[in-house]
Amino acid sequence: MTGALGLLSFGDGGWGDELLRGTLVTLQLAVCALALGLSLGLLLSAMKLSKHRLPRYIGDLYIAFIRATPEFLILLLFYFGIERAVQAVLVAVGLDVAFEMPRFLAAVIGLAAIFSAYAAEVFRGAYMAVPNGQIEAAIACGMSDWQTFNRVRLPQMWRFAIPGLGNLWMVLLKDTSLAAVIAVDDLLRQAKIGSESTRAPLTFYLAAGAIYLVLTGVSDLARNGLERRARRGMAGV
Amino acid sequence: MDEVPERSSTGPIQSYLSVQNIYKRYAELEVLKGVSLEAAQHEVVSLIGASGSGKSTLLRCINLLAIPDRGDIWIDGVRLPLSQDDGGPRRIRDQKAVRLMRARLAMVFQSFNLWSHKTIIENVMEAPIHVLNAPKAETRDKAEALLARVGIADKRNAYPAQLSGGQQQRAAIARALCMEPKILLFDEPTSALDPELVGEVLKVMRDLAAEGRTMVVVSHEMSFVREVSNKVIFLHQGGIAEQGTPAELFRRPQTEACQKFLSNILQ
Ligand SMILES: Nc1ncnc2c1ncn2[C@@H]1O[C@H](COP(=O)(O)OP(=O)(O)O)[C@@H](O)[C@H]1O
Repeated sequence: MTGALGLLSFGDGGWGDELLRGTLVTLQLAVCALALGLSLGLLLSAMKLSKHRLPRYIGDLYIAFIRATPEFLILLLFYFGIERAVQAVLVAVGLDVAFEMPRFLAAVIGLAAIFSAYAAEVFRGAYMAVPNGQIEAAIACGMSDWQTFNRVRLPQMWRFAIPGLGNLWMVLLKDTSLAAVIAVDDLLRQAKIGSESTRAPLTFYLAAGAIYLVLTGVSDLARNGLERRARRGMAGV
Repeated sequence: MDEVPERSSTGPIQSYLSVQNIYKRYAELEVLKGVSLEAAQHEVVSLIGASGSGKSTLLRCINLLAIPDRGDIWIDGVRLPLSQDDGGPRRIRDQKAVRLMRARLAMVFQSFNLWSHKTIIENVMEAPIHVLNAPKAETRDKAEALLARVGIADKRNAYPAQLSGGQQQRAAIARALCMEPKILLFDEPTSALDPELVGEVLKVMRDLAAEGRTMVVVSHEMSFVREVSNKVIFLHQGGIAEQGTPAELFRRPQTEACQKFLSNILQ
């Protein structure tokens, strides 16, 4: 027991600092992917709700692609794909420099790409869940399309979207561990390095598991709070 | 057909609201087949008829929630800016003008349609502040007075879901009044209410009629219609089958359809 605690302690002898740093990287990955993924997801849902066929079609295609592809593979595709694409552009404009895709950025983009496809469905459902009568009431009293969206639809969409987005955030938190495959030093990768150099895998993986548990636990509390706020005025009290 | 000038002395200025020869179809279904309606200022015009006869659609054409395929609508001497009827779907030519017009035609819906994320007083203040750019403090005073008038002053900070149907509909009427509308449009305002709550809403509407509001009302409450209307229009299969004063129409319905409708609903 003291052995395990020693391994996980902070300072020279222990791996506590590394695990903590990995946890921060994991959180940074998740938060950045969340921000980017929410924006992309809103854009995608707007495409899916479009009057025109082409954006709808592109949106459907993208979502189908993300759904059908293993997350692991998506990350690899984004990492190597973006690197090759940028390199090709550099060559095309006559610049002879080697481009190396930043690993953290590649992981954020890959995770956001996954998140956005599922978030788009959540947003679309939330958009349609706002009662049509309330939209008509807004139009009938002279609001513009933008006011109707911004003052009536959007504030209510959050209420319908938060439970679904909360679930997606949980999945995202855990999916960050996939970033280890492109050698981002997240929590899981730090645990792996630690376990390999000390031959105490169980200690490190249990510690990592406990940290993920804390992160998801705190997220759950936050989600409950947000849901309660968003439901304000809805069902009775 | 000649272009009709926007403001014209030849326009039907004697009518406050003039609906002229409206046609409306949804896909295969021709819902309105040439309906006209005139209302003078301070008049209450009621639309009655069987379900599906086109009453709601006619009302929704007046504020362009539904866009008529043919026909024109004049409000207080101004024609609604619809594109000319060229066989294709008609469009709103001037969105801004239509929004301004809608702001002066308040609609009260069957299902209340209060905004559920806003409190009652916020619901009432929303459009005056954000559509008419009315000053906030003044609007608040007015909203509170209106809520007191419809008898729900104590609910000002509640959310719609916390109110009974009758209270919600009275709040929706306060919301409509806060816009100082030229014309009030009521679309079956008591049809979604439990029977014991109908009276409180009709009472508010009676008061509005008595103070000389111009109103177009779709309703199945025949005793109310009979009591407050200056004119009653009976719609049948998308056309006006009969119209007249309540006394004429209720006592001596001329068409078989109207006789049947009245005898069904009055028993
Ligand atoms: N937006 C719409 N799309 C398709 N059909 C509609 C629409 N609105 C109304 N209708 C149809 O038009 C007919 C008349 O409806 P409505 O005006 O609501 O009649 P009423 O108010 O007299 O019951 C009905 O058959 C209804 O199904």
